[in-house]
Amino acid sequence: MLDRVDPPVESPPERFEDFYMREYFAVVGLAYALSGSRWAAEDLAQEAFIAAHRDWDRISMYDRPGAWVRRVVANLSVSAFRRRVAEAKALARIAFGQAAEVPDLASDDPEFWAAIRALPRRQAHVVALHYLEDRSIAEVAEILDVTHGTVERHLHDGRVALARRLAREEEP
Amino acid sequence: MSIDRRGHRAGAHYRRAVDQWKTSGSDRASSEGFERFRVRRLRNRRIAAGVVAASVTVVSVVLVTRAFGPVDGRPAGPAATRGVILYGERDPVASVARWHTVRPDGSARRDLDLMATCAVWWPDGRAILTTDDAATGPGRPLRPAVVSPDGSELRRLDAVDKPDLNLGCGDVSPDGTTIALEGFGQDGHPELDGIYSIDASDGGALELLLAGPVAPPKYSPDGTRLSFFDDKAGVSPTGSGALFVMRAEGSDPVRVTPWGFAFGDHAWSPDGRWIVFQRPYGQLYLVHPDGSSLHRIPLELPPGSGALNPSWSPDGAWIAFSLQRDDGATIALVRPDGTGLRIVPTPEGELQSPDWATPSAP
Repeated sequence: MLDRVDPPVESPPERFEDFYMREYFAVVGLAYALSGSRWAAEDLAQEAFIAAHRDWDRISMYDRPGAWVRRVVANLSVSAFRRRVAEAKALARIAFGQAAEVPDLASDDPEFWAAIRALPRRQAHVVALHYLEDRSIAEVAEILDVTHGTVERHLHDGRVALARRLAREEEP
Repeated sequence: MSIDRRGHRAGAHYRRAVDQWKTSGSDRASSEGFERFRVRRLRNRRIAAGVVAASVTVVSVVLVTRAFGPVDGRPAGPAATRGVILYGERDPVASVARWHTVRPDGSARRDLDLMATCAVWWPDGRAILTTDDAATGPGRPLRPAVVSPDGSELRRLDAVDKPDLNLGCGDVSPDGTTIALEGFGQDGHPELDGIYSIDASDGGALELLLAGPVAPPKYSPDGTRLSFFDDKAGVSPTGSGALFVMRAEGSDPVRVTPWGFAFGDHAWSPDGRWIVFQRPYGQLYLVHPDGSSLHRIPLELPPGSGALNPSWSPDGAWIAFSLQRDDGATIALVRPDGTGLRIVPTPEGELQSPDWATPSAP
């Protein structure tokens, strides 16, 4: 007699609410690292989550919806213009005590994160994701939807630029 | 220490800080919080799209008026009728404001069909200084622009060839020749942040007046001085700062309020004797340009509301401001002594940044 074999069960897609609660703090942290603004970080992250929510039926089917949200927030956060708009909105709310700011997450080495923000945008994305989230080159490539080689090149160029910039700042 | 090692160490510390924040602020990631954010955006998109019918306008005006009541014993309603108020209606989806003009009594409301970060009257009221947000994109930094009082004939002031520098909100000198404005670096160029001046005719002749502060400066009525807001780390509450006044060419900046007192927008009185500014938590204050006679405008607002973006009437008798509530904002007027609070009847929305002028006849 043959053993009965159960058909493979496809796990249902994750609910947006669960995804949001799991990823929220890390995505705000990434927005903060790339924007440098404690006030704008939450608004930028919310923009990215809103975009995911709008298309959740499709995005929830991805292997890693978190990668998609990180790509969106990375693109939003390095735009000085978008950052400024988000900052203005957040400051208005803080003015009435309607929102609390994000704590200073970068207090250990603020010069390092400031130097990352001064890199060209793609280098900043790669370097921040690599160090901030301890992502491998393959994972960074998946998040940013670029090739392995592109990530390696940006990481190398970014490290060289960081070394120059940080060395210059340490000069008397 | 190598960059790689430093990066891994900084990253590890950052992740620990995020974890600690997650533990202490876990309720911030609630689905209710996200829903509030999302619904607020949807509502504002509908308002911006003009779906709100005229009946809602009437109801909202009645409700707001009823909510605030006759503050000083007079019936709530307009009394100051001269001039035209330019104001923005924030569209959170587009992240900019849609600009309108209206008389202080709510009449002659006009949609300028202008979407921009900011807009202020030209000194003679014959034009509006705004930002050319629509043309901003990769390789095209933010630049100021001029439009007619009806919102038409937008002319970008882009004689400056400096793609890494955004030039945003500002003010036109009283003689109409110069614009002082905030500048901020395009991605990764914070060293360009500061207050700049350009020629008002074409946007050329860029000059850095003061490096550092990024906030719209304002000319004194005689054009000899500029005021601006600046903040610094460690000032409480976070995001607040102080008001400064300097010579119009950018020298001798002097702080005129204590640190932590000012918050963003401010305006000179037409006689140049006072500056009205917003303090954290939605209060309006007055101060002389030399820092003396600092005092609060005794404005009693309902709990949860606050005053932002103050602007003087051309005759100096009134101050217009954005009256912010949790569910929106409207334009309100008050006398400098805190009496006469009234709402400018307009459709409901997130209304901001009034600028009051007496436009010249076209």
